[in-house]
Amino acid sequence: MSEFSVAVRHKDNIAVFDLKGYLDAHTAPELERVFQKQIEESRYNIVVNFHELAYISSAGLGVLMQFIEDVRKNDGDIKLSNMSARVFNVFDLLGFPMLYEIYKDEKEAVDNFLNKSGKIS
Amino acid sequence: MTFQRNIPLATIIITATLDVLYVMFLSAFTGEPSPGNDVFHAVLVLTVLTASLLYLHGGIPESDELQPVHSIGRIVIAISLFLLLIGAMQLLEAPAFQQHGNMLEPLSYPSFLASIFLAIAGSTVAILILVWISRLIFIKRRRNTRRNYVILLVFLFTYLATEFMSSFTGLGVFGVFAGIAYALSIVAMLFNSFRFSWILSLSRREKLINLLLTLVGFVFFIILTVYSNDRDGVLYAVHFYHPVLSAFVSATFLFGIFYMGIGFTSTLLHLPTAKEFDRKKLEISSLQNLSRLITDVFDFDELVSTTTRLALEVSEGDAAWLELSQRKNPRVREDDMDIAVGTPSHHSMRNITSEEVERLLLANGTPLRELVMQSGSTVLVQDFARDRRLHASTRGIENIGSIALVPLTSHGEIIGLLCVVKRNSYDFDKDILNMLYALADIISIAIENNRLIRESIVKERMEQELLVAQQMQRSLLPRMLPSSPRFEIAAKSVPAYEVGGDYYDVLRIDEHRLGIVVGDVSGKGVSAALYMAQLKGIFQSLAGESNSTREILVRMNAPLCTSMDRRSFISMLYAMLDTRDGTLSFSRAGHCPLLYAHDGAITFMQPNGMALGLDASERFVESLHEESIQLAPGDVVVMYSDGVTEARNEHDEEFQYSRLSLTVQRHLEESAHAILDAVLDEVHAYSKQNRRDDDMTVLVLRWKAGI
Repeated sequence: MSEFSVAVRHKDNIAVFDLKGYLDAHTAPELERVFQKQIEESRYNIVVNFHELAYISSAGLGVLMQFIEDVRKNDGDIKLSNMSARVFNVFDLLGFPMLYEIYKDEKEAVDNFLNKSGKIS
Repeated sequence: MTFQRNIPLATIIITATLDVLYVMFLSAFTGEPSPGNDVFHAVLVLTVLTASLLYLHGGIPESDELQPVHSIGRIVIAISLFLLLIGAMQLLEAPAFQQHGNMLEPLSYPSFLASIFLAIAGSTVAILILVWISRLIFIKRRRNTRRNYVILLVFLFTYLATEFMSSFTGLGVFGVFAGIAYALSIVAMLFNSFRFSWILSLSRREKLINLLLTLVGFVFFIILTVYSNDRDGVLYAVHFYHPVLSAFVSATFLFGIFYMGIGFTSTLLHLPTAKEFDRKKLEISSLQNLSRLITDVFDFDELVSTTTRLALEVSEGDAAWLELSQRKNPRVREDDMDIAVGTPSHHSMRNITSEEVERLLLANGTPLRELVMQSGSTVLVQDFARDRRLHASTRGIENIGSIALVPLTSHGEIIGLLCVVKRNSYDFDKDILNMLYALADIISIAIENNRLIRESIVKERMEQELLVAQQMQRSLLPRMLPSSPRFEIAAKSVPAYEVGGDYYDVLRIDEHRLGIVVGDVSGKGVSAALYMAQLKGIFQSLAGESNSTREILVRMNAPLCTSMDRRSFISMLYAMLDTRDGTLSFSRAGHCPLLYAHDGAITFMQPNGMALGLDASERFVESLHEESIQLAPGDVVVMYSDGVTEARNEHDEEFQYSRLSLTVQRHLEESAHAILDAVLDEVHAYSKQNRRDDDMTVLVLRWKAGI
């Protein structure tokens, strides 16, 4: 229980977070730290890959809510991808698809960043 | 005890007084030149002496509280005064006597009086000396002490008795016995003179004083002994009074010589080790002091302060400080410790500042601290100026001769350092180091205890907070639900281990409208409970203003967006029942789908809508849709929170909608309460092996009317 990790990759100017394990109230601070670091380094293009995430609680969702405003204010975005059915259901019930772009695959999310700006931003 | 003392004492005084009066009477009325011949007088003298010995035998207290040097002092003062007295009398007029056979004859009346006076003075001094010496003998007594002492008294008595018989009868045989008894007495005296256990416990200063006193005593006793045998001397007058008396006094002086002589030698021999001994005593008392501190865990500052003070004392160091490593668990924040990452915090610096310490240990990469960490044991720099482990520039720091860094360990981990600096090099010997190790051990335990206590206080506070949150939450839920022949409502909220934010309520909007709401506040603990309270307030104030569930939710969103923090949101399912005809309209703001059972079939209805508090813009309004159902008699509606569908069993599999659906289906014919209990029981049985992380709320509405 409560095993969680975030690995950060960089694709062009986009930061990709690979979430792994259980994201709940105990482990959410870890994700918060990672987001914070990206913001401090002025990286506002973020894709969160949920492929290896087993569980997410409201605390995890709260972390996304915490940073989305700042990110978007700086012309960036947090796009979500690779969710399992279970995880997607949590987002879907709450209406998150209306607030975030959720993609089946990371590639789509990344492409969407590039398409938007027309060049590597 | 007092009985044994008082009778002999009384006897001494009475008999002595009697004797003196008798002697004076004798000389005044009988003209007898020397009282020594008189039988009665002799008997009286012997009685006094015997009583004295009995007094000595019976009256020795357990004298461990005695100040031995004071006793020695008293003896020396007594014999000094006695010497002064004799000296004064010698100067004034030496009493003169004439040998008359075995006895003496005073040549003048003053001589006669002088001899009486001296007899009293001399025997008093002798008895006092014996009493004081015996007290000293009995300090730290052992099994044989009393036995040896009594033997001495017995031999002394035998000697005096035989001496008496000898001088009285003039028979030679008594003289022989007297001689033997005298020799035995001397042996006994020597045996008893070796009782000097009290010397060990004297401080160095007291030992020096004792040295002087015993030397003086020794010399004075010798003078007295020599003088009492001098026939021309004043002291010989005691012999005139009665020879046995002077034998007694002489024996006492001899004892004094032995005791003082041996005392002087003992003290002299103990002096070289006196300093060591004092230090040992200090070490022991320091350890005792610090051991007490283990239990005094609440005052951290006091603890570290005493540690460095004791470290300085036992090592006779010049500067000391304590370093504590940063706590590994950052959740337990301690206000009095530096939380600077990486550097340990310094505590209780004595005679040194933080900057100096850093200069000492870290300057130019001097690895003293790392050496300790790596080796896990004490690092000792005996010669600071020349130690190769130190960088040249560090070695140049003045006034440092040697340093010891002793690690504090707990559970195999190094939690800090005890550091002592000395001005002289090669000043940390094995004993000092052992003391510092002992100190380090004790302080490690004490620090660990302190930390445990503080953690448990924090934990207790957190548990208290949890209790408060639970109570708050419970107080926000309805105590009673409305009942009616037309419908049944049953609901229950089962709290989780960590308090979540489930909320439900049933309000009478007007005479035929019922507002039924189930909500879930994100987050846990007191903050979730507070948001729930706000939610309830806002809802109850707005609920009556519209028949549209959608509109109410829309109106609730803005104030909630403002008052909640960015991370928090609330999911809600709000249904309105018209009790006249059974129409149920509802809106879903991000909450679990509504379960609708009709004709044995279960449907999950999930109209579009996002949770409250996520988006304050039009997007929320646009996303929200209202649905409506027409309830038929026997229809069941179940509203619940995700704690139900997300409940996990021991394999981490979720309860899911399917099981909820099946459970409700099985009990559709039953009352709302029965359905409620069935669902809760089912979930409970499913997930009981797993700790429940989320609150569970179930609300069952059964429409009956149609009657």
